[in-house]
Amino acid sequence: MKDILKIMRFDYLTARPLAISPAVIFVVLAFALSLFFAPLICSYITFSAMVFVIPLQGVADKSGFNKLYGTLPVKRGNITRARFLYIFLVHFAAEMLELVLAVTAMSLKLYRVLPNQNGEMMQMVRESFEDTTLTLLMIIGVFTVSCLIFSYMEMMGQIHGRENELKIILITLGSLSALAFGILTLAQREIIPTLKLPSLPATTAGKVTLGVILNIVMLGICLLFGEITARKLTKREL
Amino acid sequence: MENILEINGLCKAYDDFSLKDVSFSLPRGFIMGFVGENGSGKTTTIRSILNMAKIDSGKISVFGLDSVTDTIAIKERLGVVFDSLYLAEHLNVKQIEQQLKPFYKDWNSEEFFRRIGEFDLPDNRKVGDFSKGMKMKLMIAIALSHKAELIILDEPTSGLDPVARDELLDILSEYIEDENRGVLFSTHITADVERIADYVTILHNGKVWFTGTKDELTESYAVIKGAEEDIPAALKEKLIGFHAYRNGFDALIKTDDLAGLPDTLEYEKASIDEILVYIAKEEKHERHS
Amino acid sequence: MKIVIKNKSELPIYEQIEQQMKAQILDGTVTEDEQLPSIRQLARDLKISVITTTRVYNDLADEGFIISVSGKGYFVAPRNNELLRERMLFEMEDGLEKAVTNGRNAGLTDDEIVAALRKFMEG
Repeated sequence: MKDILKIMRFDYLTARPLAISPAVIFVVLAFALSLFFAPLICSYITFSAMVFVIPLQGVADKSGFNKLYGTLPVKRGNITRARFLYIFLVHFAAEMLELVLAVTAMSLKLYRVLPNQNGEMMQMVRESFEDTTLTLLMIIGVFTVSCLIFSYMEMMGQIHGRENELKIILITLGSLSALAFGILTLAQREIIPTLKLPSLPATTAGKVTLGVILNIVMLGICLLFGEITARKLTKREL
Repeated sequence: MENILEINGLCKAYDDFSLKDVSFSLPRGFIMGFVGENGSGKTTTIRSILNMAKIDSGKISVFGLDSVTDTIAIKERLGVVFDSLYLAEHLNVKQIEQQLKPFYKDWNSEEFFRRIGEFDLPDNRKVGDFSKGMKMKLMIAIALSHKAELIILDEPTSGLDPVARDELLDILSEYIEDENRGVLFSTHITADVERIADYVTILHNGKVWFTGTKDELTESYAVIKGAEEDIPAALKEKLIGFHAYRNGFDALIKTDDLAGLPDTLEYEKASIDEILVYIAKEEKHERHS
Repeated sequence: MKIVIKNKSELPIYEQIEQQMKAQILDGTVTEDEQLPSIRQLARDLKISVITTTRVYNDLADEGFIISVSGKGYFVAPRNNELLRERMLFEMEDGLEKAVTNGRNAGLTDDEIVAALRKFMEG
């Protein structure tokens, strides 16, 4: 575990100088917009999690971190595991920040200072500040999707090589949409029963529980991907 | 004398290249030059020591520890300098120090910055902008700051200017003043090891061609020159890398075989460079015949 | 002590150092009982291998120019040292022999050679 913490710190320090200014810009921009127009805009802060991951992958490949990892007194598998936990943690941190800022925006209700309070647009804005469920769903949803995509790409990139990444993304997206299209078509023709989206729990406690469960599941998935990748890579040479 | 590094019967096969039964050892307190032309297997050997390449058979011990099972304990006390910088290029020396510090129990920040100052490295510039010599010195500063007992250098001087190469020799000379340390110095620029190396291992085609003290090597071989017809028949067999030209020939010969040499043939001591060249010629010769 | 190593010299490095150290011990540039740098220090200063400097000190000790004091290091041997005296006598005889041979080859008579020697000694 100590190894993993050291490597995560190493990865974070590598990404920080490159990521910090774009991340701050995303946070400030998303928060400012969410204050006046819709709290769910906070979910854009997920982009600042991404900027902590993407440059790291680039630098690691360009500088030949594999050589460095070969000289450090840490277990090889833990280096891989750390990367996945890192991806989860930056996403998690972004998600927490989003929640705090969204709640702040909702309680400040700054849209009231905007002109033309009776306009049609303003009606939508007002509604968005009332709809806590949608905001929550958006934030947790974007977190889940982004974290899933990045950890999946990290796994594929490390196992099959980054150069194949685009191919893998296209294949994954293609098969996912084909699957969705298939299910929808079949449901439309009433060959299979229409899928009903599970409705969110009505109580706040229920919603919070659901959010926590989603986060834990996501952590589990990241750890699982990390484990799979680590197992695959230990057989390989640096 | 305790060996700081010992390799026994190392074998490692790739599709297009293999290390065959590589064995040599370096006693504590000395510098070993690890030479051979590009592709002779130096880097694969070093990657095997670091457990970056998985060995097929054989045993490598560093500080008496096994290179596969004790690799973490070994790396705690090992410094490695590669031919290129393996650190994030957008960071400066201070940030790099921050990054590496937690990995080593014996990391000494004071020592690190003292070395950085001594090596004239700016601590606020991106390391990616460093010259090749500066990058090499940074990697050495890192090795020296966690009290590495063994430093392994993989072609650190390729592409370095003569001044930086000389500085490296200075640093290594100072390092080895402590007799508990050791240096394995891989290079194809033999002038670097000709002077400071105590031991030399020559690798050729994945096999150890020679290993022993440098004096033993340079005293065991001589370059012989003269007219081809003057070579006694018995001697011709023993010549290494025989090369005939219009007015004569030259070749490498073991000094043991010099006895009974006709006066018309001249010989002089061989440099490591010359030895390497004749080894390569001998191989070409074998391929042609 | 001053030591200059010529990379292009025909002599091996250890012999170059031995010759220069002997010369400086014999002509008194380094005085008796003076402590010499350690084997590893000398290797560092000259940027040469430790095995080379070890060989130099071993050879010089064998020939009586220096003595090894365990735990302290190497020192220039005292002048009254038997070995060193013998060594010096040998060097002198060797030099004289060369001088006589060269003188005779040049066609000098023995008297002329002796006269030349005497002139040398008078400075």
